[in-house]
Amino acid sequence: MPYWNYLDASNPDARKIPGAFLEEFLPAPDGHVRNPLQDVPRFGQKVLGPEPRLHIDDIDLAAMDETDFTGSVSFGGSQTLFSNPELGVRGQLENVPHGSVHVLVGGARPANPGNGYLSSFYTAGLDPLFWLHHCNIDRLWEAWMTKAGSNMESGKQWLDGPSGRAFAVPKLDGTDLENFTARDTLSGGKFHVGYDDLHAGTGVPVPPVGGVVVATKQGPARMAEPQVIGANDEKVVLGNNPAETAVRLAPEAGGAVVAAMGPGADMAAKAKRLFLKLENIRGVSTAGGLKAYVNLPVGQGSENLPQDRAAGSAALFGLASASKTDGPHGGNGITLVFDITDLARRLIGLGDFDPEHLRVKIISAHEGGDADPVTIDRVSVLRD
Amino acid sequence: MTGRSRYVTEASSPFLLLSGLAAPPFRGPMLAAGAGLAASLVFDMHGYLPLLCDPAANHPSLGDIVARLELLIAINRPADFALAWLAMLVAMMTPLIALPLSHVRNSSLAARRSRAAAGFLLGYFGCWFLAGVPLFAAALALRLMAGSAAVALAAAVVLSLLWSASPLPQAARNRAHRLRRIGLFGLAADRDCFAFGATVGCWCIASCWTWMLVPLFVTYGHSFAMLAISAIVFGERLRGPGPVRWRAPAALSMTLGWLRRHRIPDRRGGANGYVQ
Repeated sequence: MPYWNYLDASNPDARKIPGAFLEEFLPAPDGHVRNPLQDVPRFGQKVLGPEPRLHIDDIDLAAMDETDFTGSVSFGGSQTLFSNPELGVRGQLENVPHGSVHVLVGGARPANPGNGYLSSFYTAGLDPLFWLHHCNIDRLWEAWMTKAGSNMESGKQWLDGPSGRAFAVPKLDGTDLENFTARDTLSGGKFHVGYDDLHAGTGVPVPPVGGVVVATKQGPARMAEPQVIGANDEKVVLGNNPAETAVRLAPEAGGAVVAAMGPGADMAAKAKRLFLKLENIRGVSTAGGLKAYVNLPVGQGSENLPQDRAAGSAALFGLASASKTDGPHGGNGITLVFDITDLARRLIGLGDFDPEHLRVKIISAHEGGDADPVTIDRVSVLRD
Repeated sequence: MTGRSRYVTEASSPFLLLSGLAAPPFRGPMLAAGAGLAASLVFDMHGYLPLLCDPAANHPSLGDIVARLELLIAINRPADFALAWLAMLVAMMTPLIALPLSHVRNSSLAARRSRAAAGFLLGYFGCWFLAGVPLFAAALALRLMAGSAAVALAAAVVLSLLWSASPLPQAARNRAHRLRRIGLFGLAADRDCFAFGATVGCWCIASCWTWMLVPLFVTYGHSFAMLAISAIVFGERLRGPGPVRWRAPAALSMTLGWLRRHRIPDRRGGANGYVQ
């Protein structure tokens, strides 16, 4: 399958939209036939990179380091039984690079003159580039399954489900539809597809000559489901200006975090991860971007915020669709989880980590502005 | 046959669906529902039933109904009514709240999870408990108008199917799926859990109140009727949020889906098992 390998560090042109999708006209003799691969609304980048006007950081392969496929902090996302919108948390791959590439290329107001097809759930598939992007996401998944330490979901509910609905694709001859399950898309399944390379741009190293090829490991999640240990006190409202909210950790849990990240902590405690969770982000804007910081220096303005205090950023791909009460997400919006383990360790080392009062600053760019702000039900801290 | 696909509403395999219900977060609520059903059998649940479903009392007058009501109140303690109604609610409604209850528990500090769940359940069942008064009054009115218990039962079923097909319960169900913030500390956390439970409860009542009338008119097999209605309202809930419009009620679409799978040989293999 063809794919857009935008994270291939060995290719200087990797981040450029493939040329065939940029030519305005087809190479026909008269030169006046529009190129259908290009003739769709795209208002964003032609070369992928950070988009500070939308507060979206650069894409990377951090998701490939998640060891579990299923879980509220995982490669693939949380387990959702039946068609319910109450439990869904996006997987790390779905946020970056998946969602970021959608919005970076499609574009989003106010940074761009419009919202492109790629920026909305409902229109993304109409942009031919969507298919190359999604093939790369599928390839990253395939590569992740060959990575040592990856723990692929093996539950029957997932492989043969979902229980409450079915997947269907048109048959090749167009006469009918055909059902399939997740199992059919995996190795040995009737819809499993192969890729020519699972190493370039995936972060999965080529095994040494004579080395053992890693078999996909299947089993229950390795990481314990993270538990909430702290939260802010009120809903966050984000218009054009940044919002600041204070997060308080439960006394015992806060003390344990500081102890685990300080000198003398045992290995098991040190290995525990800390997360910042932005729960139920809702808004009417088609897309946009958002970035969160922890404990910015007091008095710091809103310009040139230090990256070493950044908790994470995300493209708000599908924000309006996920926020519609009568949509499949039930109006529960988007929930994001950022890994702040390293940030917390740095702050503790600097003596700037008061578990009773973490200052979280959130900044967002979206077309709703002050009139139709983005809301975040709760900002919480989780620990595994 | 057109080429448009859409989600089926029934499980791709009944065993898969059942195994899903036996796993968290459904397992606990399903067990609680079973306990509620057992409790409804143990308690004197049916003290009120002759009032509504006695087949020997066709075409009662208002005076008959009032006299029977006075007798019922005289020979039963209020606590009996309360326990009977509560047991019926636990049996029928607990599976519906598995996911919001899971949200409440997961959003709370580990040490406060039981307390948070209790607050949510108090709000949810509190609403349903109070709704028992107007629901019982509606059942009495329907019994009076219908004349016989059989006609009242048929009327309640038709009313429920019509109500389920209309856009209104879908609008209510959409709101019953909406999550809300749960505070982490102190009384604010208790307030949030209770308010969330009450909100879900109110939208739940708005969505399926007509179905709760149906078992009240069933003379024989009352518990079986409760189970059947539980499956219907659970099926409605599992459909998830969706557009607010007229649609086939889950009670019919589940039956038709089952027939398609089991009575149409071409569909049995599953190759064309989607539903148009």
